[in-house]
Amino acid sequence: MTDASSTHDTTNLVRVEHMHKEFTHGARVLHVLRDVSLTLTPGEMVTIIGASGAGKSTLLHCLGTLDLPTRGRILFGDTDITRLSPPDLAAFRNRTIGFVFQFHHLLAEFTALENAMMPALIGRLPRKEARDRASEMLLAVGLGHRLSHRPGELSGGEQQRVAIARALVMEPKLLLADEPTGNLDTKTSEEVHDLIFRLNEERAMTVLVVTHNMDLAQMAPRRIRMSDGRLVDDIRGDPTEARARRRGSESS
Amino acid sequence: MIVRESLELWVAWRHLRSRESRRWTRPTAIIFAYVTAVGVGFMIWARIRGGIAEEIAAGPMVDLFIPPVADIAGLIGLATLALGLLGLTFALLAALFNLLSAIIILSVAQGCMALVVVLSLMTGLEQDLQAKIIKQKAEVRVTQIQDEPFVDYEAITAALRELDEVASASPYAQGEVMLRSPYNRQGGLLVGIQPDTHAEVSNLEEQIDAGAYRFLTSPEDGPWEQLDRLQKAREEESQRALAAQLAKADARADELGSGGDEFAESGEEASGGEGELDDPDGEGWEDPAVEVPKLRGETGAPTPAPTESSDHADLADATTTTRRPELDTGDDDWDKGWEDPEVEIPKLRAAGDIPAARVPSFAVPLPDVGVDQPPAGEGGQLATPPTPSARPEREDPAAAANLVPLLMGAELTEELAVPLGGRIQLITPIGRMTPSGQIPSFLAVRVVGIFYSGMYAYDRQNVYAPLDRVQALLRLGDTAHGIEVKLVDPDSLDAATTAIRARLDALGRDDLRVESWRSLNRNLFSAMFLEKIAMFIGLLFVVLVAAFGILATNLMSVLDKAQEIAILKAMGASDRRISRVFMIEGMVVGVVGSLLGIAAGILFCSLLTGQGLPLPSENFYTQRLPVVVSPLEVLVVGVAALAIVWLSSVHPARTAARLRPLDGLRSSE
Repeated sequence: MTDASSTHDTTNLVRVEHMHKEFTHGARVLHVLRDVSLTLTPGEMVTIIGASGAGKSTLLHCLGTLDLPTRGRILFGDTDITRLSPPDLAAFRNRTIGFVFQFHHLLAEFTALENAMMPALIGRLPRKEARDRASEMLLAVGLGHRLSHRPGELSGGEQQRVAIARALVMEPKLLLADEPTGNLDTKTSEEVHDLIFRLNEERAMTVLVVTHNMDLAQMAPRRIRMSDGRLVDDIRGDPTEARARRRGSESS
Repeated sequence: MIVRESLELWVAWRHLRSRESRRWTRPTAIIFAYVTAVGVGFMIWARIRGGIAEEIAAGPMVDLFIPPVADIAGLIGLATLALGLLGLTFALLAALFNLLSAIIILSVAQGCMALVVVLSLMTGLEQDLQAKIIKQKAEVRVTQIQDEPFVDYEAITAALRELDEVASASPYAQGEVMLRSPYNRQGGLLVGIQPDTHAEVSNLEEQIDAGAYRFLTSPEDGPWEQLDRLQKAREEESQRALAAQLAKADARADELGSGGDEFAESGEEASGGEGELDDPDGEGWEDPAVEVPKLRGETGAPTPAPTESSDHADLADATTTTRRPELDTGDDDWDKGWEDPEVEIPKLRAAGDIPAARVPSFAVPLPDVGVDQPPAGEGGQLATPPTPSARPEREDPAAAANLVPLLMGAELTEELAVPLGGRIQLITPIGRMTPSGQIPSFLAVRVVGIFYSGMYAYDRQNVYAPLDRVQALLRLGDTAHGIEVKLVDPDSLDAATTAIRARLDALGRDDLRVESWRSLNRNLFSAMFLEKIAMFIGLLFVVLVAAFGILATNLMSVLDKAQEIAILKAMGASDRRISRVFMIEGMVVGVVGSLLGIAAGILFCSLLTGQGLPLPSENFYTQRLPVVVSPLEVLVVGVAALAIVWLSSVHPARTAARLRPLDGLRSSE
């Protein structure tokens, strides 16, 4: 519809085709995702809202290959990631996807810097390069002065920012955030939201955010609403408008 | 740091590390370092004061076990040192690792230490025993298959000496004898040796505590006269004391009448050491000399004044007519026991009772040396009717020096209450045949050396005398029971045995068998080995318990770190890497624990060796706990501990690897 999205249509980052996800719980079969089809383009900023149990998180997990769909395909470029072997999936996650969860899930025994280095080390980058990248990312999220602090010594917002820095250290094409501010107070939430938007713009990285926060949802150029395992709304707004709105909220 | 090279190691290391520094570790470490220092101080002091070592060196027997102050101090020091090191180790571990890991490491270490110490003790005992066996006996023994003595021992000994594997060889003859001292009688094993060559195959010479080995060859060198005088004085003293006591005991004079006689008799026996000299008719010593002629006189046996064969023929007629039936049933041994072969054989031959073929073996050996002949001195001829010249020599001290020299074990000397230089009598049932039956042979000997081998069976049983005398006493002729063979390399036992076997086969002597000390003591050593295996398995359970600790801790750690595992997986860590993290955690605990334990075990063993754990001699024949740390066993302990630890780490690691990331992420709240 808009220029921004149409220019990217030709090169889809992710294409989800008729994805179903069912959980068998005893004798009952729970349909969490029903025939979800979705396309994400590079650099896109998408928010997903919906009631609890609508399947938002499951969609996110399937996209992030943490869970496999029961039926359907997920295409990253030309590869169908539902067919990859576990080690390939692990490597794929490491290179292509960054996660931010509601809880920071930082490793308690490691400093902020070491936590941020972790994906780079998992990706077998040299330690020095990992360190450089991690400190650069931490600088970018505004934690340059907190490199050697343990998670226990950081505030909730800082912890979440370390988690974001960690998610971005491998420069993934897709950042998946599952209620990243669900656990933070309003002011800290806004800081984190700003950070996510800023990173999306600066790094031309596709961001998919599952949220209950309507402010955040409204700010995104593309907003998806889910209900009962289906995508019920897929609204694309003007990103500039969204930015303006954000600036407005900042100034107010 | 190497730890930083690998992500898995890095993560595992951080897991093992204590999360927050504990304040108490430092003061605890200081306190225990102080305790350790106190222990070391005690031990050094004990070392300076001198411990059990000197006491053992002072004498073969420590009758009463009263550990000297220095020893007690040493033991206290050892205990303090052990406590201090334990505490210090724990404090350091707690500073380095988290508390749970530190405890598990310590328990693994304890298991390994117990294994190392116990196995070292058992190896020590085994090698101690082994050394004692090989020291007095040579590594290999050549005997006749039916344990019969054989004639050509000199030729075979010479042939064996030529072998490259053989350091030396020495023949021996042996027989069971009764040893009679004025106070006691005991059975023993009389071993006839060639002193010169035997010194090359056995350590007997070094084991002599009193007297000297060389007196076997030259008994006249010993200070026997002095010793005799000393002993005599001592006995007179005790006799006086006894007499005084008897004089006082007048209350029941009548009842004591007969008892007094007994006392008097035993008093005489007590002086037997030289009573024999003073008192030719003394009880217990002279009877054979007196009795035998008496018996002969009664039965009309010939007095040994061998002259013409016609005489013998006459006499033989008399003897054989009366004793014939017994002789017919007799076998070779019976024949050997026959009285004065050189006298009897012609007789029998004349009577046509002995096959001619048997003659040489009798005819050759006996004439040169015999119990009956003078070389045995005045003691030797007791078995025979005294020759006219023997009696006068009795009082001659020079002849007394010619008693057959004997080496005796320390235990046996105690049993017989015979001092160095003391005289005793050997009695063997292999005696002479007289018309009234078989008369035991006697041999008067002088104890010229007392050996202490540390092996009770030897010290209690074995007595050594020159080969020729033993052959004469036991009526063996010029034969030996076996050849002791000392090897150049004691470790290549099998090769040497094979070589010796081959040489014997080449000589056509397949009636001789070759036995190594190992095969001779197979039962003993296989029992010890079995015991060691059982001990090993038993103590491995300690490690096993520690391993269950690892299992539990690691499993808890996995469940505790489910979120971390989930996020690591979300970040792209493969299952294998996750599993490796937890394997490493288990293995670090295992490796550190077993290394610590082995180090502590070796340290403990070396302290035991250095300080020595004195054993009360009334309970143990070994005076000091022998400790030998065998590298192979330490390796086995290490490998076994690591294997167990590895097995116990597998399950938690697999649990971690199988954990689905979503489970971990969901359980976050």
